[in-house]
Amino acid sequence: MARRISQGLFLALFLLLIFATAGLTGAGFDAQSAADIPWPVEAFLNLDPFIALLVALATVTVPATLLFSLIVLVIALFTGRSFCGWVCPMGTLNHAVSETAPGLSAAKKIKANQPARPRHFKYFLLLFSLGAAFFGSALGGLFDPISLVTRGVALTLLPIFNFLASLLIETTAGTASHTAQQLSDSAHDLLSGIVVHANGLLVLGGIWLTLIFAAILFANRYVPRLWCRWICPLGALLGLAGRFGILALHKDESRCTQCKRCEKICSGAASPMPGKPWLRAECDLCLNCVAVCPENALSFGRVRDRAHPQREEAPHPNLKRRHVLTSAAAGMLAVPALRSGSITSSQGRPHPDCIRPPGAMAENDFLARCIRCGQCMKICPTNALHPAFDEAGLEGLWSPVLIPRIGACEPTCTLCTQVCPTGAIKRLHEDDKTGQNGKQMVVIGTAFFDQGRCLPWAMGTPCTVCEEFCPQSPKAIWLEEVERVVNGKTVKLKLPYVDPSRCSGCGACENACPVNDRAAIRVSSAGETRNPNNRLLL
Amino acid sequence: MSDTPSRRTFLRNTLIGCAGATGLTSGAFLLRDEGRHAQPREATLVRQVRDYTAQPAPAPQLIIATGPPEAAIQKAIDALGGMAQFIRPNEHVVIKPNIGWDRTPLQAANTNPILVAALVRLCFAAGAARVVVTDNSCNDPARCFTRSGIWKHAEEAGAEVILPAPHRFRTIDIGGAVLGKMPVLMPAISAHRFINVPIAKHHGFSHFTGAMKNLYGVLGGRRNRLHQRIDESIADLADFIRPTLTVMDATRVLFRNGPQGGDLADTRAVGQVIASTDPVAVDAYACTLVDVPADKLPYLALGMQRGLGTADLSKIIQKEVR
Repeated sequence: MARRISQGLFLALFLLLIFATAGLTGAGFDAQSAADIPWPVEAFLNLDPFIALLVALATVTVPATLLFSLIVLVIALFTGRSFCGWVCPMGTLNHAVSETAPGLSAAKKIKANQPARPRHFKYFLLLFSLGAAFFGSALGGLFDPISLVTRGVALTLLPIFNFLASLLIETTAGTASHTAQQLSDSAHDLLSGIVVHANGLLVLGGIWLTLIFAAILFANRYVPRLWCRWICPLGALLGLAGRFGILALHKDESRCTQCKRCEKICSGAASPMPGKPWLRAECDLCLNCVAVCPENALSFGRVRDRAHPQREEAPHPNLKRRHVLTSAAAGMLAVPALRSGSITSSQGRPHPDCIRPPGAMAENDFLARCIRCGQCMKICPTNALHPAFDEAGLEGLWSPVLIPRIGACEPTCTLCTQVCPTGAIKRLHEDDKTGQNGKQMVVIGTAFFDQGRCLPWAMGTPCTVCEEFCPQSPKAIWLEEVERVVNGKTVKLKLPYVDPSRCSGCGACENACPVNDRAAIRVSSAGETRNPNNRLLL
Repeated sequence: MSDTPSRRTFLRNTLIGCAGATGLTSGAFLLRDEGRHAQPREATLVRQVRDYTAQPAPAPQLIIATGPPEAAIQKAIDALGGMAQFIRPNEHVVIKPNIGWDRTPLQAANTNPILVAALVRLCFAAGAARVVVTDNSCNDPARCFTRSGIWKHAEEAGAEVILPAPHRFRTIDIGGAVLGKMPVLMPAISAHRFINVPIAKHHGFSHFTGAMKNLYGVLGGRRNRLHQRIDESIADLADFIRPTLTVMDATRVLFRNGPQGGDLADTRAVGQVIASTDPVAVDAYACTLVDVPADKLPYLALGMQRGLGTADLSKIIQKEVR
């Protein structure tokens, strides 16, 4: 019961923080409070020692906020994987699905809860991730459970809810019933900013995230908490950290009637039944076995004999040295392998569509930090940031890229820089970004005209919406007034040009361009501040 | 297994589900708003007009009030004969400021929030039952409404602040020279009275944006195409919405890099509030405040042709109040 309350509270807190991952807007706020987030919405990620270890290895530094993860690590030193059973929101979701989903009969459940060989995979994945981090890539973040559940809720569940809620609101608002209209109005105001996004909520390529998240949840039907038992590298790390923990499961073999109730309910497949060695590194400390045993044969207590671990306990996973070395080496080799296949990493030639959020570090430093949690994408008020597919090479899968056609980078907004848990996006203040008060403007790309598609350039038709939307002062788009003879008629036109020294690459022009399919002005990463190799002007 | 539904149960549940869905859909169909569909298919020659002018119409005057915004608006409305001339008790009023950009008040890209709040209070003092403040922003609406200060100040004054959202638009055939079917922000036009509260700004394309151009904010959809025939579309809009009153914020104006600005050096304090029932006259006067001569604005002439007001300031009573 206490465990369920703890799981429920932490899951609620996690969801609350995800909902709070948004700028503060409303009647109660002024210009400044819309710019800053007062609470640590990335708290769960900061508490994650696996992430801290990845970043520490990859960068040989640790962002101060990640030091909070020492708390979890120290707790794990004493109590093993208690975090998995009591705190982790991904674990809680898996746990909830395992317990509620039908599908396994009692006999099958007992069978599914036997320790299975694939459980070793998570240690190999941990070592693989650390190996890759050692070679400068935080790609292990793809497998981190907190990162996974943040992506899962923020980038797959919320867009689905947004779609449903918007559909419902628009349908009821379209009826002639005044009450229904008012209801939908109130519903919209209540939900806006939480699940209803002003611009609609789109995650480009998000279906892959959805399918994977759904598959992980669905797997619980066959093996309860399969992800936690077999795949989760954080669980592996905490399990290893708990090697010398102070708690142990004491088994009274004389009382045991072999009813297997403990095995049926064990959430970690940690062999709680007397007669078998308890698997310390697999145990979530859910205490289900103690609670369910009708004979009181099981109890948790201090380890009795440190020098001679009880014969009823297997204190650490029995990994073969060969496998350990191979996985770490594979992680290390994966980095050069991935980078040799990427033009950016191997030749330093930037990908035009790899437009990173403002404040993003140089690409290699960025990849050494980005754990793909998706917080930056969640908070972006214009829905401009999306998980990369191949823009940043396979190594940069699901790292954030800005797609101006979907949303432009709001000129004074620095929200994404405030929520990045690892410092892959450096914290910026408004004037750091805009270059006011004597600072240097942050450039994320440069806009280029496609004169063949541009209304004034190609079609003798007045336009220049791009100039109107350009937020720079003076404008980064300037106009040449000309007279052209179009179909025998003299027309006064303004021809737009980009001033590359003023363009920040925000994409407001591309976003507003009335050529609605492929814009006549498009931003590429050229000129981005973070990459001297991509500089455009002398 | 007991927890697998039998075929009979499955079929029954499916049937109930389908019946429910059909019921809901047909309910929604029966309740649907005819206004949305009953428009004639082809663009008609009938020009849509939303006329909010007060009757009997007082003789048009152009009031130029100088001073801090709160005092200036009070003096300007007094000079026009008081708010009771325009708003009768229990009427619903829409106030349409410019909340187009993610800018702070000093940057003068949005209407001054103090001025908006003062206007809200004047409406309530005249007996208005409901005052709505709304606009369709160009940047993220929540940020524009917050950072402009208008959300806060207008709500403190008692107004209902309504942000644009897809469900708040309906397609209306405006029937103008260039404007046909356009999605219109319904809360902006659903009222007895409409007070247009633009800010005087330079505009890179139409040279000056003020009263007439501010009405862009009631439109949704792909309004970025309107630039192709900007003057006609501005005139069409001014023809579509005939405001009760136009109150121009020229307390601080943006005289270059409009309509967004961004640099305080692009702005200057003028300290004026201009009020009139004639939007064309307001624009003809206010454009000079940002160094744009009135004859550079073809939409003023179009507005005159359509009888929306006069751009000839010698033809209107001008009063300066301090």
